[in-house]
Amino acid sequence: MQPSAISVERIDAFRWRVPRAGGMRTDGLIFADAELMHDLEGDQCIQQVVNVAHLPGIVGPSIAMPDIHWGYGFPIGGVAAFDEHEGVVSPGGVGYDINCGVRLLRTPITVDEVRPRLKRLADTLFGLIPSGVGASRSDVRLSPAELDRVLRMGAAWAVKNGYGTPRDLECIEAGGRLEGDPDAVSARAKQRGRDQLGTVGSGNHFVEVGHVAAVFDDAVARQLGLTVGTVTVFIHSGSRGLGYQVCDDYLDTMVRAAAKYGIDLPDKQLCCAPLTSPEARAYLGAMNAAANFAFANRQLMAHYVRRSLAAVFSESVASDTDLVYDVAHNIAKFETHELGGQQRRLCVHRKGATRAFPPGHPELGDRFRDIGQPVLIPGDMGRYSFVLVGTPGAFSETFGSTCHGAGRRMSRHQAKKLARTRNVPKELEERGIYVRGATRATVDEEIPEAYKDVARVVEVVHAAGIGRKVARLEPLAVVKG
Amino acid sequence: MAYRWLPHTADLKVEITADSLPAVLADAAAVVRELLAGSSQVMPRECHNLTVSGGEGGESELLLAFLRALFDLYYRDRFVPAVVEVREIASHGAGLTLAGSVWGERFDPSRHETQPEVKAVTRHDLSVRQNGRQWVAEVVFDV
Repeated sequence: MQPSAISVERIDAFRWRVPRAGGMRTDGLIFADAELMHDLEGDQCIQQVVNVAHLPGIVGPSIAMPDIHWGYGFPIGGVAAFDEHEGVVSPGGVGYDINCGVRLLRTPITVDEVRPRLKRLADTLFGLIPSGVGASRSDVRLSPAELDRVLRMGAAWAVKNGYGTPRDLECIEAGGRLEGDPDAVSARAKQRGRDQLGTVGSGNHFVEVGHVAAVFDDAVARQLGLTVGTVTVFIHSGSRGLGYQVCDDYLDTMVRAAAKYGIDLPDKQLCCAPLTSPEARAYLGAMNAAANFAFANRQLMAHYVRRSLAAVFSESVASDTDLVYDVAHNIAKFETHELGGQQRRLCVHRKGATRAFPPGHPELGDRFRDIGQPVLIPGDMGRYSFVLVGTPGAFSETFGSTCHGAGRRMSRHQAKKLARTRNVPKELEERGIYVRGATRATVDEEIPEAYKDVARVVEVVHAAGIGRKVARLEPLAVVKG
Repeated sequence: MAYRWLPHTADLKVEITADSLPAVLADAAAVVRELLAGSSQVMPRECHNLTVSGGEGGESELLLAFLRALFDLYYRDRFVPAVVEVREIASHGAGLTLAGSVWGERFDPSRHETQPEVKAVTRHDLSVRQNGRQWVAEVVFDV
């Protein structure tokens, strides 16, 4: 069930403890049912939970969500909080795709209205939103000064330039803007990102037209504008080449910093610096700038989703398409949490994990204060996705965090081998799902069987009280990178 | 050419086996070629000189820097490597420096098979070690 050297104790049906041992400064805490734990066999992710527990200044356990899988340094699906004075920040705890995240739009049309024009909508989205490796836009070229404004303003830059509405900004985590420092971003990173704003990228990134298939919480779903039959659009992307380069640049900085500050690392990819150090301040400024790029990226793509709806339906369908929410799932943020009866400011790393603040949290906008932070959990392109909201349980147990997706269960080579003799887009089309992909390789790597059943992942967080189910969405058309 | 893909749930992990460090690096270029152009033929039409310095960490940091330099050529100029010649590997302070050349060509979507994007070369499980008369390297790519 786990690497033999690591002891794992079952706490209850959905929680597993990895007791502190050796150089660990705290326990590990994994959310999973027995079957999901079984899936982790032969995978290094539990070792990675242990490794994170070695880092200086960690408070509370090294946490893993039920969609945990083997990452690099931190596991994907990992959450770790660090004391602002004694702790560290690690670019490996955020990942290469800084502020990779998910955005959900709801349209005013129903599933029955979209079906006759679905193929055209899929083709229009594929044409208007560049996808695939190194995808760029010829219609959004940023001067160096303009790119710096994107890195400072995030989604607000996009809205100011006509890509969306002020209402959109109220429906984005942190308002779509963090305290970014463009001067902390290298010229190389800026060069990689300059013509990539408004592009979906590759790998597991996508734009997906879907519909609300089931509602579990009527009152919350109504408040989010989600009723059965409503057509929705998911966007999953991040900070593109700019973010990857920021991470790469600062990993080098942090390797040197770890040596300089005498931090012993069980895995070099966990390299880090004390939060009080100049290296940490520079990284956080650059990371926030890259996060702003990602917020603006998803904002531009939402604009082109609306343009696609206008082309296929009407301008009124486009203008009545509202943002439900936009979440970051690769980020480190300073937040205040209660620990041992004391309010403490912590740097919470979420790598493949979603913030899930409860109703009443002051960081939530008025629109969400009564229901909690919306949580968007995409599944695979053949089954379903979920909308949840944050809970008090998440705030007290996981630093206000929950899962972020299905989590892979099959390697990319395994998936491609399985898909080699199949026509995956045709199979899905026979089930009423249109797939458009930049490459066959990406579509094959992303076959539904390559992922865990996201319903199972969501059941765990719902039952454990670290997220509450609101609605289930099912795919109709998917544009893959 | 001797490399094989190892099981990894989310990313891509490769093991390279060769009889010398320069041969490991040449095979690493073949790995990059596969990651960028699949099994398509890549012709040695252009040559770029390479000077790469690894940080503290010896051969593994040199391999990391070398792979990053090859991906940089792709993300900058869409250049895909075909053949690498390593002229010299020398010590510099705490690290190693490589001087060499890489031949290849610009990615041509009409002849080359587009592959999913490689975000980065990671340090996770990164190793280069001598095992008897053989050199063995392992690298994880974030995709």
